Amino acid sequence: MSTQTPPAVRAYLSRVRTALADLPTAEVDEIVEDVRPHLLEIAEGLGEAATVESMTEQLGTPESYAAEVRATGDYPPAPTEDTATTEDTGPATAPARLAVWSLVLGAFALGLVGFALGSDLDDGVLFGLLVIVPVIGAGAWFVWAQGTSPVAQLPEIKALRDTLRTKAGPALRQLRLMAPAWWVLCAVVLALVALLLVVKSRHAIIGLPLFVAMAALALWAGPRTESDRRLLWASVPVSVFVLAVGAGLVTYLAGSIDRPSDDYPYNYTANTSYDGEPALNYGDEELDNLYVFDAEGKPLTDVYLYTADGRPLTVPRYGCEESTETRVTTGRDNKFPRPRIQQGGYDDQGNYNGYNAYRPDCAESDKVPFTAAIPD
Amino acid sequence: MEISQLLKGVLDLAVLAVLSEEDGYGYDVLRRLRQAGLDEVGDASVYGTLRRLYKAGLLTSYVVASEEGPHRKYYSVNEQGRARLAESATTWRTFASTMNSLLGDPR
Repeated sequence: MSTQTPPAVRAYLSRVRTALADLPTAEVDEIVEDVRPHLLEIAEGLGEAATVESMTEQLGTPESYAAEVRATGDYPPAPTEDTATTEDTGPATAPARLAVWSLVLGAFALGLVGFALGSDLDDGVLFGLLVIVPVIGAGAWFVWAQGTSPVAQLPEIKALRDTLRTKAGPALRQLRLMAPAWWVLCAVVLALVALLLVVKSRHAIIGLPLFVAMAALALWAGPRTESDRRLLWASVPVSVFVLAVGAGLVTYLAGSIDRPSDDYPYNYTANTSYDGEPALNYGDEELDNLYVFDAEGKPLTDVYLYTADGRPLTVPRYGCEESTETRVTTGRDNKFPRPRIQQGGYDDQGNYNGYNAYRPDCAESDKVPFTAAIPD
Repeated sequence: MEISQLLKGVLDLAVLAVLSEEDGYGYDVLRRLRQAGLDEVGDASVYGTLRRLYKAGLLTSYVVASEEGPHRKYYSVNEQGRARLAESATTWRTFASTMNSLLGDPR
């Protein structure tokens, strides 16, 4: 089939293509499709001697060939070389450049929205799309109407493509292989996020059509981007959005695992003391001490506590350090109640905890600070 | 008088006439025009004309896979194209007979 297109025909056609580059890509494709069988026949006639030069002898230069197609096909005249650099492409490159930037900035903003959406699962950020989608849409409209050749002619895009081709060729080929799976993954992630949002708050159902539309776009535009570069304006934003939502979701999940650390900055989890050892907890409250009473309400002393499987309930024991008059950890055991540690300060007059207290004081007390009324 | 100058005005008509006999792809149309005696017709102008007629909605196209070589895009004249052909043919005949009588008999 067309794989055996001789190099001369390919070279000739590519020059025709270049000469017609300002026309919509689809139209150029049609023309090339008409012309190719003819060129093949001519090349066949020439046999070994088929070169661009020998074909030019029969047909004229590819450029004049293109000009003839242009004239008889009622296509707009080619932008001439000298005006191309000064007047004509001045206004022509500006919209192309805008289209590129609408895509780059739009995709970037979509990424931010996607990340915020994934990490908070708050659909409020979707209102940002009201700005972003028209921006990308304007760029998409431009390339849809004009074809991608004005964009492809931009020097920065040419440079980018050359660098990509030389530096990242194998990686790109790898990506191309995975592309079909990627578009399906996009649709799945979008559906998943839409579901999560609806589960989280009912009114998010309003955003549902948006996600359905985006998933459809991924499935439709994604695989076609390879052959129709105009669809980059759809597939790139969707891809960036899905990637960002995914990254956001990962941080959301990571955040929900160690969320308590936000509330108690000194505890790694609610169930360990500040030094990371196991602590006693009653609900959210960490317990330093336990008081134990018998049936008559008499406080018990020297009680040893064990867990259901016989492990001693060992927690840090605190005491006063005399030199500094501060509370320190003196050891670990499972004997309750602990002495109560009272920390305060004295002022010059010996008043305890007065307004001018500056000498620290730490005192241990074995007294039970309350009495318990045991219900019958 | 250059025939290529005259051709410009009637290439549409010629291409429509060739295609109304039988559907054809670009090169095929060119070959049939040359066989009919229009040697001056330019290769590229046939393709340009085909695209223009297609864009004007006078032709439809379909692709036929080919075993030797690339697939071929065939063009076919639709209703609108036939109407245009009939109309243009009438115009041409009137014009040609007017020119003939104007020029008189060749001596």
